[in-house]
Amino acid sequence: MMLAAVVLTACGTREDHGAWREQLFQGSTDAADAPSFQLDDVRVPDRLRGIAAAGPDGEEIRIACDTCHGLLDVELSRRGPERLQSQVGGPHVGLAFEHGPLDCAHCHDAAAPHQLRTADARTLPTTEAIELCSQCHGLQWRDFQHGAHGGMRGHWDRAAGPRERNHCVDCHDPHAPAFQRYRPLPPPVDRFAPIPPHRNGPVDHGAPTRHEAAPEPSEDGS
Amino acid sequence: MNGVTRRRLLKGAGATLGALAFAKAVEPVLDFTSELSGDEFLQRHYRELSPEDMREVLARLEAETKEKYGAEVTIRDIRPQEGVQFGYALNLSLCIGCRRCAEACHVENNHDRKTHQSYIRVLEMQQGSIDMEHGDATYDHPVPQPGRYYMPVQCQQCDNAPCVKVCPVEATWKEQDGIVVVDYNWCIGCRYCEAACPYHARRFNWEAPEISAEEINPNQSYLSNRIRPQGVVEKCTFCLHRTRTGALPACLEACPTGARVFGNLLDPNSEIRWVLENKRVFVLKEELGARPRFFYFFDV
Ligand code: SF4
Ligand code: SF4
Repeated sequence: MMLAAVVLTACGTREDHGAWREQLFQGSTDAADAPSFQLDDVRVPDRLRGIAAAGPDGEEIRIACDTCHGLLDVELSRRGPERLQSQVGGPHVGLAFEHGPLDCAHCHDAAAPHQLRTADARTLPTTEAIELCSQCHGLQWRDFQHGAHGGMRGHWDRAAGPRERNHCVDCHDPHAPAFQRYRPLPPPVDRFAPIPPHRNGPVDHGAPTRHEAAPEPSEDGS
Repeated sequence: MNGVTRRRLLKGAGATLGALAFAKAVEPVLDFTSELSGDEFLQRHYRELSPEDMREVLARLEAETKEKYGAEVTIRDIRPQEGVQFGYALNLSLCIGCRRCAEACHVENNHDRKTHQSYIRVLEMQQGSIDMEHGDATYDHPVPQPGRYYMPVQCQQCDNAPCVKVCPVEATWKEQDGIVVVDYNWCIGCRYCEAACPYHARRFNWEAPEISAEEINPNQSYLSNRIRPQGVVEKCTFCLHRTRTGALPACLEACPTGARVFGNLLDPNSEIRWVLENKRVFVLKEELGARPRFFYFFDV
């Protein structure tokens, strides 16, 4: 390194400011292709196992999709989302649907809506929704597999302990997946927190659209 | 150890004045800082402590925490693991500025409750600029705002750390796994390092942290989250009391978006390696040559 610096100076070339990054990996082997991803680490949120409803004593209970759809013969037509809300009946009333140009049958099996249907016409239980999501959201799926999308808890060193990862639907409501705006946690009251020299432009003080804080892995139904 | 250490300074003073005169001379200091026990005053530098010394020091610190804060805590001395070099990356396209990370740090690291201190500042940034000096750390409105993005900044654990170089007593240094640490019992509180850090990552304890016994995190270590004394400098340690035992840092666990990626740079299958090799990462103020271990990227 010393020598390189001397040579570079002697030649009058400027030091390569990025060269130091190479040294970060010194003493390690080349990257293997296999990501260390393990599907078992991913939570299976309750909302994938049924719908939340008020129980006899007012407490929240979860009703499996099969409870109704195993008996009822509900056939999904290819309906546009704007007509959807008034027509989806029973416990699904009020379901907000804002998932691009899709309609129910893009993700649910039209003949058995308690099951999912992939683009290549396989049926999946709702608990395996990740496979369905990743068919369209390939970039997110790639990042997710490499630990670069979605919250996690536990260990970086898999030999030292387990890891739990959020499922897509922990943060994204599949029927209205856009991330909402949140009220942030309070700033420091440290007297040395830098005050910006200028605040550019007005800020929107409107109320956060949905949550007061960012989502925890939630157990609420849909 | 090279350079002038606190010990050598004291020794030098002792030699000039004679031992008795020296004892006399430091007496007012000891009187004045009644908080400071004789043992503490004479404690050696972290890297000069033998295992027995360390055991005694840890026991003393635990007893002091019990006495001053009324909390039973365990303070360990956790050393770096062989073959591990830590790195951290943050996806600015995912971060929504919720400050969950800053809050988790506040709790994990026994920060002062009154000032709501944290080693992380989340900066609200104007889109189109990556100049952190123009970020706003005090925003208090729904996030994310249109036209803004959010850049959390904490210690960047530089390989060529300016803060380490300026410390006149070597109270701060870089450990073998890449984490820059402070010996709070060696720090003289001159705040040179705070001034030298280009990332504003260091914090000074103007007062002893105020925190109630129930809120104290009892899982502590000497070089990280034990309660700091008044008048010393502190900083993010990548939660070494967690990460050196294989766990993820508290800020990463708290992040709801997965914007944070942490791991071992020497493990070719680690998430951090994948990010460094597949995303267009950059570091803050690269032109200063501090060589941070903390990387940022946008999804493109
Ligand atoms: S790694 Fe730990 S000490 Fe550092 S900012 Fe995160 S929570 Fe705080
Ligand atoms: S918790 Fe995550 S999303 Fe929230 S401010 Fe911190 S890094 Fe950004």
